[in-house]
Amino acid sequence: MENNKKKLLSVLILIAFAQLVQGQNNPGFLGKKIAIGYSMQLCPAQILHFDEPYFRRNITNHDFILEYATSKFRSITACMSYQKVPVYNVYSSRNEMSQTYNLDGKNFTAIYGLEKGSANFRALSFGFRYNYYSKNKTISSPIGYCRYIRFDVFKNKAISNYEYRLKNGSELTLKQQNLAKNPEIENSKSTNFSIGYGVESKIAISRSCFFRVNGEFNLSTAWLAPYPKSNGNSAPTISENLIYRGASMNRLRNMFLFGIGIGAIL
Amino acid sequence: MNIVKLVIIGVLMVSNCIAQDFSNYQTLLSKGDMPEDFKLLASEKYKKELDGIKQENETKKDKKRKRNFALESNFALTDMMMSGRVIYGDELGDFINKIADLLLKDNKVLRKELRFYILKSTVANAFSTNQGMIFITTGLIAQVENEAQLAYIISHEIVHYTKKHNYEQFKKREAILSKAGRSSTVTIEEKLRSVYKYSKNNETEADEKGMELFLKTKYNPFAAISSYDVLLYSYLPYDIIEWKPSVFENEYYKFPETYSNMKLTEISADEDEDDEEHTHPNIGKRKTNMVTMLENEDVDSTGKSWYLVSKETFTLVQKIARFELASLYLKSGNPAKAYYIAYLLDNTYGANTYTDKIKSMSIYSMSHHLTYNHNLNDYGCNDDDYEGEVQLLAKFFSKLKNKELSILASKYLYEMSVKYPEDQQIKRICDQTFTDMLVLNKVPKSGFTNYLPPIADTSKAGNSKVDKLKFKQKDKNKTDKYYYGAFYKLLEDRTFKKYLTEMAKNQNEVEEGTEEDEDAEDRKKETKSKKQGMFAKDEDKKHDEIVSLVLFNPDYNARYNNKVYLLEDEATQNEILNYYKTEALRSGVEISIIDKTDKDNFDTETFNKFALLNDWLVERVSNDTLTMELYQKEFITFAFKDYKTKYLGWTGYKYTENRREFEPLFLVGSIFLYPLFPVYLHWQLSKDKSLENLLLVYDVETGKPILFDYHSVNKRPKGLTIQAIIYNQLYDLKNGK
Repeated sequence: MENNKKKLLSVLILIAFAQLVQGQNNPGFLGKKIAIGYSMQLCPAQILHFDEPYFRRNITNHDFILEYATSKFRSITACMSYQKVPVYNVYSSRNEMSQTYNLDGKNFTAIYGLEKGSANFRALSFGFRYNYYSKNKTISSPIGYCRYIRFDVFKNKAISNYEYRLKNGSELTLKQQNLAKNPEIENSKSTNFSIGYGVESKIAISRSCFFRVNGEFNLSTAWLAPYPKSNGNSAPTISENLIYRGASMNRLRNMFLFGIGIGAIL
Repeated sequence: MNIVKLVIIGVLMVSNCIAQDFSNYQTLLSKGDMPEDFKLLASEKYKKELDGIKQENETKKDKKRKRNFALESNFALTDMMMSGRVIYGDELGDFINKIADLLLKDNKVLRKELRFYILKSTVANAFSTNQGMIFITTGLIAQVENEAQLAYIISHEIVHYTKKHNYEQFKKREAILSKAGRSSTVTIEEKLRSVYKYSKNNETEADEKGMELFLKTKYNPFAAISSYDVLLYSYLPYDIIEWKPSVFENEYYKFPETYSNMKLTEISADEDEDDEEHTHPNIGKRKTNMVTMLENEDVDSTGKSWYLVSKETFTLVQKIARFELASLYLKSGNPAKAYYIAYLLDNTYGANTYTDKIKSMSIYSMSHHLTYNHNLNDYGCNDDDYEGEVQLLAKFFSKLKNKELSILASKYLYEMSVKYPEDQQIKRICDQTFTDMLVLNKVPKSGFTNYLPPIADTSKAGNSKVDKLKFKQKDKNKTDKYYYGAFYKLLEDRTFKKYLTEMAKNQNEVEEGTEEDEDAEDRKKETKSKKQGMFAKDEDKKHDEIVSLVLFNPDYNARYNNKVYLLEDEATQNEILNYYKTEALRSGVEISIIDKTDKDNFDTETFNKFALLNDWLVERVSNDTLTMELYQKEFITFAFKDYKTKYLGWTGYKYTENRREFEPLFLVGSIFLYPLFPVYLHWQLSKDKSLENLLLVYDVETGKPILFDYHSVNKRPKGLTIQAIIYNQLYDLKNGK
């Protein structure tokens, strides 16, 4: 697996290098071949979560690009995107959780009730785009209308910031209470890849600034991973819920993206 | 004594300035200070006229109509005047002005209002404008028989101006055609006939009032009547002199009889033709009307003259106009007519270097075009354009096959190169024609060297054995290969023999397949180019880096839903011009723009340069072969003398914007696939835009196009878009793409 990654990386670097060399004979837009840009993207697929009352309706993805025009109608882009979706009051039918501790060789169970706080899902991706500019709508890349394919690597995290109250403290000794004061919630982490297709229009507003509008469709390897299941027949715990929702988010995060933004040509 | 000497020197200097050296005739150029008519932009002329319209006491509708007319006419006129074909301050213009002075000696105010300019055109015509400009073509001056006829035509045009016939015509046309649109009972054809009738009435008025004006002068009144005959036949060359292919023949080189005996069309001019669908009454009616008028006025020609300014000046001016015609035909890609005019000039004024040059270039041009399999009908050999005896010329050249014409041209041009050994252009075209003949048309050299001349029937008794055998052999080979005799006599000359051998080397090289001739290579490319369009670029070949370029004012035309907004177009055109200046500075490409809007620097000298460059470009574009030597190659050196480059560029922009037609199928589709509805809506509501631009760059030394940069985008012609296009054009120039 590691070897494959290296091979893939080598091929990508080789392609990028070849494109950069080719780019030497390209006029660029008014002589400028590099574009940097930011766009705020909406992920409408995440609307699927809206029937769940505990999700805040924040579906914004922040997309950053660094583009280099390799020829009059071709360019490559390094991109990075970041999304953070806060989650409040993750629902659990039990609204409580238990953890087992060991103190002086003896096991005891601490039961917690949800007090307050939130969790959030974070995703950071690094990717690569190959852009085909339309000859009818473009004078010269990197400004104009293009279609692109993109590849991304996502690092996903579901981080809990919930506060819990010890519910069965009266049944525990002082030492046990101290030990069980701060329950450990496992944060979930995952990595996945995605491949996508998109269209983007960069409209120059001056010799060095542009507006950016784009829309894309991506398919993530998150769809290949098995959906986490709860233990037995009991309702999922808060941790389990975070994992389930995180997996769902990863699948839908960049399925459809529509963004607007600005940028500069260098 | 000193004063007398000074006067004599002064007179000589003036006459030297005026006199044209007809042996080295050079195209007519403007002289003196540039009149305001040439300095002002079309929009400025329009605004000036607008001030006058505002002050008039007319209805809103009339004012609007006048504004439209002023806008359209000023833009059309400025386009024509800045094309380089209209000249001022020249000998012809001076002569016309003198006639106008005589015609209007009693009306100083009107005389001051009128400006007369010469339009370099082969068509015999004169026309006036509402702005007070009257244009007389070189074609007309070449045709009239005397000064009085010209004076009558000018007086006719003056009446058109004083009666504002142009505007009245515009008004009537608009009114009649708009009525035609509303009324279902009257067809458009009937309404058009009303327009023609109105126009004919205007012409009759101009004839009559013009005659009144003309009769006030001491010009012979009967010139008015004969001027109609001149106009009747003005579609024919200025003279009819029989032409026979025998002009190319010699003892050993004779064309088959069928080449001379061809059925020719009769002259079709009819003064009583049906004029129902013409803007002018027929010549018969006009003549009758004038004769009646003269009879009623009881006019006679006592004390009247055909010449009031000067017969000598008229003869000189007409000679200039006729000489100009020859080069005009050549420049506009009509070598057959140019040849005939040069032939006429030979017969009218005697052959000279200029007429020989015109004939040489014409024959070279036709031969070269035919070598490249171009249809000679497109180069003046369409016999429908000729009538009478002259038609033989067109029919003769059309009948010749590639080989025949290239042999004829080679022979003619070799003789010319011997006659004018100093003329490098004739030498170059001669070399090229021999290459065309030997290499491209594959005429074997041996055909000439083995040629035996026709000899009398010597088989009869009393002839030697050799004579009998020669005749027998000749008789055996008696085919249609008459053309091999073209060089029979010349082959006796060692220099020619050496020259032919030298030229035939290329032929051998091609036949042996060792090395292809460059022209053959060019021809292949041209065949390919022709399939793809005239300027198809050789993708594999990069041109040299160009860091300096002479560029014409960029052209710009826009249409919004098929409507033209002339003022906006001019503004955008000027904007584009400025972008070229700024982008050139940024990119380091030195661009010398012949800027017609630059009032401080656009003077007569620049205007003349522009005219010469434009003529060169017209000749380049009119001749659909890239390898052809252009007639004006030598004149362009003058136009380029101040520029440190050999590259000439032309650029144009065309923008169209139309509403999209409603597409119900797309609508239904987008309703079914509802997420796509916004996309459909955006598409349907947005305009269909197209901005095309073209940059053509020629190397004026070789005459070949070296850059054909065409781009089309669906964008509005906004600043950054245009700047980016220009940047790319300059980038391509600089990087030799």
